Amino acid sequence: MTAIEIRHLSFSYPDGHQALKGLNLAVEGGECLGLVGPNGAGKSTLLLHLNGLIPSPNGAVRILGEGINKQSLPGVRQKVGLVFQNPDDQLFCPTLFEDVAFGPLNNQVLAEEVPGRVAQALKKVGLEGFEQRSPHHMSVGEKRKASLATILSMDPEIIVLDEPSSNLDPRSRKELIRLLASFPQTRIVATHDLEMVLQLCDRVALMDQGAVVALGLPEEVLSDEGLLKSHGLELPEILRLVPPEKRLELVSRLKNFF
Amino acid sequence: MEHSFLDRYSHLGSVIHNLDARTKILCFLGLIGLTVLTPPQYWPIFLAHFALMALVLILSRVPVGYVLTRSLIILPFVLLTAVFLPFLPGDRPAGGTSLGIGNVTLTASGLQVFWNILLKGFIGVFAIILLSATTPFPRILEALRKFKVPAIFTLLLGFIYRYLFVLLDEVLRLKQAIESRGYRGRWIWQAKSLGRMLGQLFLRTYERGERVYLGMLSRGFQGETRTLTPSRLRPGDYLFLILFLSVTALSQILFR
Repeated sequence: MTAIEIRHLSFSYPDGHQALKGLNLAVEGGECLGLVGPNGAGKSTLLLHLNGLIPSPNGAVRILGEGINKQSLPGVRQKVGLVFQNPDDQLFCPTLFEDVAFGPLNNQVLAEEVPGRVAQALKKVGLEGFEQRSPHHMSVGEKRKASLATILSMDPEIIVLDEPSSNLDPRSRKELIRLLASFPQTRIVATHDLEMVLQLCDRVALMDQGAVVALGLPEEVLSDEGLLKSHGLELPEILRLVPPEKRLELVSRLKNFF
Repeated sequence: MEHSFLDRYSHLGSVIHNLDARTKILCFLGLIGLTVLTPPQYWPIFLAHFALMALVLILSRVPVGYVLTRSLIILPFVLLTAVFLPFLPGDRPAGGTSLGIGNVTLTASGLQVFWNILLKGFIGVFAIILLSATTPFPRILEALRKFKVPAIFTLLLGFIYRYLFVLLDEVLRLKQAIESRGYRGRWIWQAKSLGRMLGQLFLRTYERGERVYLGMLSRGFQGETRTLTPSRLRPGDYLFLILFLSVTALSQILFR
């Protein structure tokens, strides 16, 4: 089943800058799609469309077969969990408990069920017992996991992440990739971390100037040096280490690393 | 970066810490109210109120020096506003001296008003510091919500608590950025940079506000805040409430 379907989506910011130009994209249910592209390609703008933070013209964005309109908006926001790049924007409550409970409480979850949901979400990201902690007493890695928990508690079917591995030390980064790989939900990961895309994603969409210019298996798209160069990206260093014919094998070994 | 100076001892596990925030707010506000209503000449009442709070302080195991030094922050404000009161014309002079150019006279009523403001200010701040040193801020917010304080206020206070440190870090980073480029802020024309820094800070705060709002929307926020109310008043809370307030009231009756 198609989780997200985007047809001819265009969007211009009020200052006239056109961020998206007739973008087409279909994301399959349960897959993990990497979204790569140079700065200003429109990745973040696209993400904001996915749960209606930027309204899209009728039917241009369909979530699980349903268009985004005023009636479907609350449901769409429950189904699509958006994790922002900066945890300090995502975590805005005095305690982690309140932050993780914020989504369920807004989505008409029964009050008695909420503490259980919070505990479950925190357990999934490995932050059991952090309920009463304040975000300013947490490390960046913990904050990132906490951000994930704030949307897991809403029980979303699609998880959208903006730069999940940025600012993380190598160990936290690896933990996060493992965590994301273990989720059964449809995932969309916008990132500059091409190594993470190779390890984590089933497919990758290369964006430039507001449109998807290439879509395919990470090992194919991300080993095409000409394509990457022409869209402001570089071949991942790790693929440089082996001759082109060995790259597929290297990527499959990378995936088995964790 | 110092990140917990606001409620540093609020996570200790003493009898006082374990009380519900509502109990403590009611008790301390009651005490402040009665203190304010006490006429200045009944000094034993002030003494009794202070002794009661000192007892609470000792029970809470929060360092005494911490609360005392914190409470002194009220002094400059009181002194600024009240320092001239004893010199204003009043009923009977309490003393005076000639300075050569004119006479300076202290009045008894003026001194009393001064003493009154100083004492009540100190007791009030002492009670509030004691509250914040024994109650984590989120619990205070929860209590305020249960007292039906409008959501806009509790939400705003919550954001202030959450983002104060983020903002402080941002100020620190801006300061480091301009200092690392040789800014020393010694001359009046360098104030321009300070203005730019403040402008930057405003913009960053504004943009953060926008992003936080988007984050709230994407998690289903529709203008109404819903919260859970997990804490309950226990028998100990009622006991403390009754004891505390009756001792306070009793001192009012006994010493008048």
